[in-house]
Amino acid sequence: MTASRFTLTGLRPLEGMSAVPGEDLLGIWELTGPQVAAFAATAENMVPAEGAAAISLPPGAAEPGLIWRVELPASRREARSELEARLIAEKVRQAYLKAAEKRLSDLQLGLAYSAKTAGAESALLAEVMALRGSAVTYGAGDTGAISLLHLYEQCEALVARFRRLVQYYARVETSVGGQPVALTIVDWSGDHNVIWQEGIGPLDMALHMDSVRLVLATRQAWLRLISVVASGALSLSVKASVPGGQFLLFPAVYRFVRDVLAELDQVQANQEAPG
Amino acid sequence: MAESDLRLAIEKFAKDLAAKAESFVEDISTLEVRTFTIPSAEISTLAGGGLDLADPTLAQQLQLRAYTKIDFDCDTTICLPVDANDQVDRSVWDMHQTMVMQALRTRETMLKSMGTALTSALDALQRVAG
Repeated sequence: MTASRFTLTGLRPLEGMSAVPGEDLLGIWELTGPQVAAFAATAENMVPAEGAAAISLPPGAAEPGLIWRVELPASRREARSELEARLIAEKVRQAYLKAAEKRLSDLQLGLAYSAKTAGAESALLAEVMALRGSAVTYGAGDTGAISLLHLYEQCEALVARFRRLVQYYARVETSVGGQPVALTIVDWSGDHNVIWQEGIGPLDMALHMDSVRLVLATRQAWLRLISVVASGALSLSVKASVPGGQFLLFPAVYRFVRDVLAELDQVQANQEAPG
Repeated sequence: MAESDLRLAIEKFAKDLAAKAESFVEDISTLEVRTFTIPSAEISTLAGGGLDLADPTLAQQLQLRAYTKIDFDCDTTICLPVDANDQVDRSVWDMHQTMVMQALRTRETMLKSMGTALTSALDALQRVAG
């Protein structure tokens, strides 16, 4: 029996970066770094990535770009249910993102410390106030300074990742029960090149089509995420009259969006919890 | 230091996005979908690396089974897959058509995203200017 994995290979951290967020903020994909691992993995040699030898590209070889790999279990019923769960999760995250955007645009600067202000809003407003009044100064080794620096690093890594997302559109590889079944390359003009395993059945075909849909929806959500953060930071900098605030506020708004997504996730988990 | 690094990263991102938007507008006049098949024993050789469809070695492995090109004015070119009896190969044709529908939806989404991105960029610029 093979477990399912949804991995994205090729989003590299910046050179010298120590603190790169390893997870997909939308919680759908496992980001596996620059290695060229295994669409080549077939039933007999398929092992979890942490145990798999990474294949280095030979010098001068063209970079493969971003590879979205969907590895599904041999049971078609389980495979379908795994994919459907991810597709639903992606839709839910899109809705959360929309909620975060709305809360960002509803933010009132005067409410900074009101008891009615939610935690994510309070933290963001405190950051805005600090930037506006330069009220906070950090000393070397200060926890606040380290935390802010860490957030800047995370944002920088995030933006660098999204640059690659812009440079490469999508290459989707689907395996079922350890056997590669199809590969689709979508380019920026929307052209599709699809390679099917000869004799592929309708069930596997549908699984690959859903994998492609999931990838395209994720790309969409990620680009939306960065657009929400960038336009939120810009709007807030204008509202708060922070010169150059669109850059200064980027990390704070990113943290706000991240916190709202986590908060809504928690609400959902509490609702689903038994009892 | 961290702020200037982040600023630089954002500027590079915006520049790349603008370049892609420009090439997208240039390339959007046609939509092409190609459906290939490959023997199951060979599909795993397509692992990871670059996939240049013009590569003759790759061309030997792949069999182009169906092709659709749709121009912006909806003029359409279609190459149908046929079997050994010159009959349309229904299974390949069905999967090709499904992919064409997918490609059309993708392009529609791309157009919407570009429109949304442009609207928010203009909106943000107006706020800054105003």
